[in-house]
Amino acid sequence: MTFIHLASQGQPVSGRGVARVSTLVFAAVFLLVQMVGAALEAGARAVEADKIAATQSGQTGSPDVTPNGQEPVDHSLRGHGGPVHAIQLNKTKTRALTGSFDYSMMYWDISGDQPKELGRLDEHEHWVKAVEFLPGDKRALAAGGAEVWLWDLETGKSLHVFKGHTAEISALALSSDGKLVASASSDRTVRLWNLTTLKPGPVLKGHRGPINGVTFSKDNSLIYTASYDGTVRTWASDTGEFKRILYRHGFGINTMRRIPGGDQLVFGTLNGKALVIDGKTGERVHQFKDIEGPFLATAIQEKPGLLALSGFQKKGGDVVGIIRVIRIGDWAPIEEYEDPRGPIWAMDFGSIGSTIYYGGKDDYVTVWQVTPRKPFEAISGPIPRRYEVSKTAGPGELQFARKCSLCHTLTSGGGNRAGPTLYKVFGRKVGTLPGYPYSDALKNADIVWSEKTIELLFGLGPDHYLPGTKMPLQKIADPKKREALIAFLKIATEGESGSGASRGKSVNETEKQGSKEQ
Amino acid sequence: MARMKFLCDAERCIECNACVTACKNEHEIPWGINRRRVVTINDGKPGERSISVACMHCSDAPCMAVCPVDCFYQTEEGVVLHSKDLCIGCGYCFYACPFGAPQYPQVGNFGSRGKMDKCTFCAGGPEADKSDNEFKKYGRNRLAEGKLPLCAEMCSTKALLAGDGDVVSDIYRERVVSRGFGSGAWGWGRAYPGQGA
Repeated sequence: MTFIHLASQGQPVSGRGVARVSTLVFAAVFLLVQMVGAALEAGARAVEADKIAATQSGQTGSPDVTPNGQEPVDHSLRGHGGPVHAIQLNKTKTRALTGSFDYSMMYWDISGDQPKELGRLDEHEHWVKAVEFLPGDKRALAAGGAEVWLWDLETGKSLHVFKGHTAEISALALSSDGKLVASASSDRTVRLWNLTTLKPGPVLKGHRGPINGVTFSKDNSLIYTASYDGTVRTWASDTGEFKRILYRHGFGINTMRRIPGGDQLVFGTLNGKALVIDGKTGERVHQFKDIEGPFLATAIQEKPGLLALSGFQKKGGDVVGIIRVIRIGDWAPIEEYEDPRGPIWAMDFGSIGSTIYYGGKDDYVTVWQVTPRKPFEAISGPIPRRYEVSKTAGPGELQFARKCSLCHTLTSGGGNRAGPTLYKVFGRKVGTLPGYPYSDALKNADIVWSEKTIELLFGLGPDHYLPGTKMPLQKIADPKKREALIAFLKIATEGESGSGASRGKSVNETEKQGSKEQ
Repeated sequence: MARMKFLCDAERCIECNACVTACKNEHEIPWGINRRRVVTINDGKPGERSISVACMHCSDAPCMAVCPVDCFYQTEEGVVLHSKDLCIGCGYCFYACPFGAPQYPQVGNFGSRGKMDKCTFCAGGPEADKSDNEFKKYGRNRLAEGKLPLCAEMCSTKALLAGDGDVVSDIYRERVVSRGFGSGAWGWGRAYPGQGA
């Protein structure tokens, strides 16, 4: 560790006098005590970058149990009803925001031993792919589909919805003064919004593909954008005027961030490259070791200066998510971690860079301790998910698991996912389940769910049967499959036993569905 | 069982876009969606090359790896297909595909994307072979009819080859031998520096 290393390099002893030696020894001991004291005072929160470096290769990794042999504390954030695509922690690392496919943004207290859910903001009409704390941590932004929602985190109420994009937003960036937010969208534009006046600002048009990354320059005068068209471009933040193409990569850029303290940009690409470029000149500063799949997310910890890149690649026929932690400045690799559960789409650093909160295909956020590395080994094998059913499941259960379970639960306590729970759905009037934010189309519909109406829903398709619904285009063309689904729902939605049977079977480990039987 | 493959010979492609048009017509692809497109590098300059690009039906398809609802599957002939009943239009496959194959019609009401659409190697989808439902969702199933993809069939210079990978590679090998060293796959020299043009 740093302080030991410094103490061992004390001044050489001259040998001219014992007093002088004693003074030096005393000084060295004093210095050592001072440093140890300082280090102890800093406590667990002070995890320096070079301490992290010392743990690379897992040499100081500890087993995944507490010293007294008890089960480790589960720090994962559980509560979403769909895969998590956005994670941001506040600067003090005491609060977290997460965005998911379940149309919600969740707000967490992560200061204690166990994470605590503080709020679930679920009025968005689409999934949430980007979240952002505003200065003071009392308000936050969520990109719900093509809209940017401004939330009051204390009251849980939405303050404003910025509308203008025509396709979903994949990234948000806040100016350092907290006055402007930029939203990057698949509609190939970036839009600026004024958070003080709540008025729309300039629209940045010019990219030839969806825009996946956006950030302000250090002095807020420029905006950098990165797109699927393979370019990084610069724009004036006050007028939205296009300045120049800063860098041409060729392959699409999936994620980009500015390195704090300057105008260097780090980005990860579709073809497994990750680079740092100079935001002023466009010159390449550093290129990281490639991966064989795409890079998907980046995270930065300003102090002690760490960068994380995530993505996925194939390993022995399996798809493994990958996280690399790198030291900013000399770009030295610190740690690398693999998760056999698949691609890692979102992440942020926890306390002083010692942990990483990350999300992938699952409904929860996992916490990986970077240093001391824990878990030491990659966590055990792929977990069959609720939609990964076996051919042995009944035909109705198969339909439910593959086509409905991503968005609906079957139990009273199962909670809502992107759609409401189907517990006791037969006989329920459309749009009436308390606590679920229905679209106006369903609130005003005069339909009661029955075998006949569910048959019509999937025979005609939700977009025809209930125009304006949030439910995806979903027809089941084969009458036999519709019949099987309804027969299954009749039993499974009536009580815990039916749904329990469904869950139990749908997570067995036999072969997945293939080809023509989906 | 044959392993189906596409290969575009950049020495022969003349950027006529007949493959794009044939594909759109055969499958009645809606406005705004191109399952296939022609990419030209160094347009108008020495060394100009064009290649026709669509889904390459990868052996280790990254789209299959990233899909959060597991809607992809691979046929016995190695063709990568997906179920539009399962697809939620999340766009994850778009972030993973190096060929830009996934397309999203802007007609969906889930998120702001519709169901993903892509080249099927003229092999339809999970619906019954040659059924109306299959045609409406995925286009014509020419493989079930005993035919090969129309884009390659229509190619006037036979730049675009499609079919059994062994046969395709034999044809291409003969061409390279006939044309001489350095006339192999476009981009070979960049991918493998020091090993040819």
